[in-house]
Amino acid sequence: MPTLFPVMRICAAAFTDVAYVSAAGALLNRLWIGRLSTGDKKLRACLRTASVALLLLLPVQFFLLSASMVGDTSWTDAWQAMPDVASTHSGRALLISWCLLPCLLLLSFLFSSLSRIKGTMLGIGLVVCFLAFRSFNGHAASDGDFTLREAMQFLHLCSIATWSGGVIIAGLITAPCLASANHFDDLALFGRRLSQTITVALAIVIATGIYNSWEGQGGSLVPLPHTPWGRMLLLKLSFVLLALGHGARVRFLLKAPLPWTDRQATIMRRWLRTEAMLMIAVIVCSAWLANLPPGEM
Amino acid sequence: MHRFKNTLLSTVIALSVAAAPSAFAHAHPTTMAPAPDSTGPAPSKISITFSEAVEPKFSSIKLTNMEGKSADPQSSAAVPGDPKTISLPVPTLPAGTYIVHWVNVSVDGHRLQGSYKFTVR
Repeated sequence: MPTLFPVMRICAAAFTDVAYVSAAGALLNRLWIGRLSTGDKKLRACLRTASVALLLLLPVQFFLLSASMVGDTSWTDAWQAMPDVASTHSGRALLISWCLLPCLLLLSFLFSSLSRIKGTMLGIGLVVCFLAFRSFNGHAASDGDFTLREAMQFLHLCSIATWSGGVIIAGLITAPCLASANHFDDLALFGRRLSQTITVALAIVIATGIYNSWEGQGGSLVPLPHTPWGRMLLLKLSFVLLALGHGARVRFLLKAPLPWTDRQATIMRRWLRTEAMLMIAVIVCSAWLANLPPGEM
Repeated sequence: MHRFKNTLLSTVIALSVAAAPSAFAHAHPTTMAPAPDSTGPAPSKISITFSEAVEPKFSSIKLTNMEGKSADPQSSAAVPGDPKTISLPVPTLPAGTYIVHWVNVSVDGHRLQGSYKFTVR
């Protein structure tokens, strides 16, 4: 059974990553929609689902962290080591980030009673705090807390959440809602806000990603095109490039002047949905790559 | 067209670097005393410094002889003020070859283990 641990670790990481980027995406999409209330209910439900998923997944990740620390020997060993794991740097960061989640869940219920901007900004603040503790939980923490590496990792996580979360929720929730409600011009305006924010986020993803990879590999980039790990990296890169290609097409479409037709809105909705699927694939590949060192594949 | 190709190539290179997560992130031993495969007088302690900070509760050093029997009843501990180093005090060792077994968990939760030999004259 302990051989299941690596698979469980990849699955838990992938689901957790999809959940937190979805929470960030739901809040950002709500901000980009503007004054319209179209899709409000679905975005709130998405935030609620993501919060519940994270509340359940983080304890699983904690258990799997414990299993990893004792060498993936047995379920009992992992269970017994959990109190000790709580005193480690990663364990503490995971527990603190978990404590923020009930607040996010509560906010998803109170959203309708809070004013749009206040509620959304409060939610974004909570997600940012959650990501800050997540950046304390990784390799970036090896030089200690509040270092440049942790700051870069924090920026990286925030920009990834903005890019992938924004696109996933736009493609799967917001764009279909706006298109089906015949708010074609609002879809165009929403798309422009999304595109502007994502351009900035993407620049930060690339800059911080290069820094993280350089630091993480001790200042030398080992070419791995002939290993399974390297091939998975190439697969992820292919998804990233396809998503970028789709993003460029969407950006080109957004240049079309208003008013928009049904056809333009339909194309936009379809392209955003495809981009959303590609972003989910990128997240799954990332979880796979981050949880298995090259030698273990 | 040439400029477009250059831009595309630069983007692909930047993305491939940015897309690589730090999967090599483990605490590798950088300094070991006594050194691996060395021959010398009996050491008073065995000390290993890793490439990054380690979790003391999950990191340890054990010493055995060539038959696999424990050569040291004591437990290893973290060196105060140096989160990258753990050490094991050892009694006076008789001449012979010994194996140092080490396990560490880096602060990001990744576990690594290894062993090496040294000889006491």
